[in-house]
Amino acid sequence: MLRTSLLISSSIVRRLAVANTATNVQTSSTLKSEKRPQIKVALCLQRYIHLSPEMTQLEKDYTNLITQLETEHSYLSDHELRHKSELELAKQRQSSATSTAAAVNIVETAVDLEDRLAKEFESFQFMPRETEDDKTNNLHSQNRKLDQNLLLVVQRKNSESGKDEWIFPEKIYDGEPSLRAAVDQIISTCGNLHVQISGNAPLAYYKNDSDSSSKKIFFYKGEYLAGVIKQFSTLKATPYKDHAWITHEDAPKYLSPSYYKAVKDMLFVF
Amino acid sequence: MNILSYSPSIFLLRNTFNRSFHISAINYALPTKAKKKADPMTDKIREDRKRRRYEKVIDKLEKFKLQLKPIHEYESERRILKELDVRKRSTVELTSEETTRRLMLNRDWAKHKHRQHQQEITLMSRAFKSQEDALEQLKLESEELYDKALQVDSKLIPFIRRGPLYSLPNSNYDAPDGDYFDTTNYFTKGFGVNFMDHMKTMERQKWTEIRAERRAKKEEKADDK
Repeated sequence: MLRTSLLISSSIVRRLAVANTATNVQTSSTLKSEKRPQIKVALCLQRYIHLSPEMTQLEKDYTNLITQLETEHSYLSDHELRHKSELELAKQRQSSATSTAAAVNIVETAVDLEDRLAKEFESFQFMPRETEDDKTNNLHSQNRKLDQNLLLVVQRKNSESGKDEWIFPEKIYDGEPSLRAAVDQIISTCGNLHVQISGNAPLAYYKNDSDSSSKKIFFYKGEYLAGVIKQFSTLKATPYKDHAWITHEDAPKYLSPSYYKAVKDMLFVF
Repeated sequence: MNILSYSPSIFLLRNTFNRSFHISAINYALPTKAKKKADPMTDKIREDRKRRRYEKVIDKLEKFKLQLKPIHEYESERRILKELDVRKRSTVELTSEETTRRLMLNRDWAKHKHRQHQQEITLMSRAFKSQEDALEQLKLESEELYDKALQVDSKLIPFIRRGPLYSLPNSNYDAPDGDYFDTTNYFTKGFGVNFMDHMKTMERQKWTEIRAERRAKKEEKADDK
């Protein structure tokens, strides 16, 4: 008995020790290969929709049809029954004023109730679907176009060609244990952000064929949850000049054609 | 462990001697006292009682077997079921135009949904292909980074997404205070829910019976004396 228990505990301990060493290896290991790959990582930050988009004409028509069919196939509700009985009472009262129906005094009829509730609904004010930033067309704010997905693009200072390009925020891979770790560092360079990155695997890659010295870029996608983005125009130490939140439709206008072609498949919206 | 390898009697004797403990008589495989012979009649009565008790439980189990917990959503209200004739809606005669309009709308909607579905599938497959290509390129660059990229991201597991609303929440709106009434119907009948409770009550009943039996016996004895 004693011996078996000892055996069990020892095996558990051994297994635990093995597991611990395994995790240690995982956490402490950094890339030790002699040749560091010359690549870049980029983060495509998306702000997902806050408001549901307006229905199209077909969708409106179909919802109307569905509700109509449902009412046709349904039984009368309590409210409709009440309305019906009240109409009958009114009829009786007209025909014979002295009957028992005249004695019943209705304070609020069903129609009155409907009117009152409709009035209450009218007085309720919905918040506008458009924000201040929509009116001023403030591209720096993520608080615009709430019914569309927005992408964060930054403008890179390019001294060589003299032309400033719009790109997704990127970083040269610098021996981090994984590409994901490198992506996590991009977030802090953009500002104090709360971001959820979707997965450890890159979703797209881009290589500028015309420029042989350019590095391969691997793209990750992230969801913007909260936070403020740095004002790049006031900072000197950043490689970027400006940033903007753009819709998916505007993306080809900002990004260069070959760049957009590489990331197009990743940026799908239904 | 090795203590047990000694003969128990010897061990006991020696130890008791040394520590001056008293022990009971050692039997050495002597037959123990004969068991008191029980009355066959009382035995039979006892067995009968036992059997009856189990039969009762089985009866109850069979009786309640089919009683399942009712789901209120599946059953319509009795009050409304009685008034079904009153609540009949007068049927509307559809004009031919209306029926064709409905048919066309249904057809358009089906087409629209089909197109949407196909679009979704193509976009998804494109995205998958893009990711596969990217991973292949990464494998060319570095095997280690490729292995790291294939790891499961445990941070994603409780995935929370708040759905889109129709309008923004109004910060000025003062929501009226409501009352909370618990109108849930708790199902207390049958074995479906409280089988264990039932078994406990049965056990309690059994013990009260046994106690009553004993008390009756005692009284009998007292009377005899």
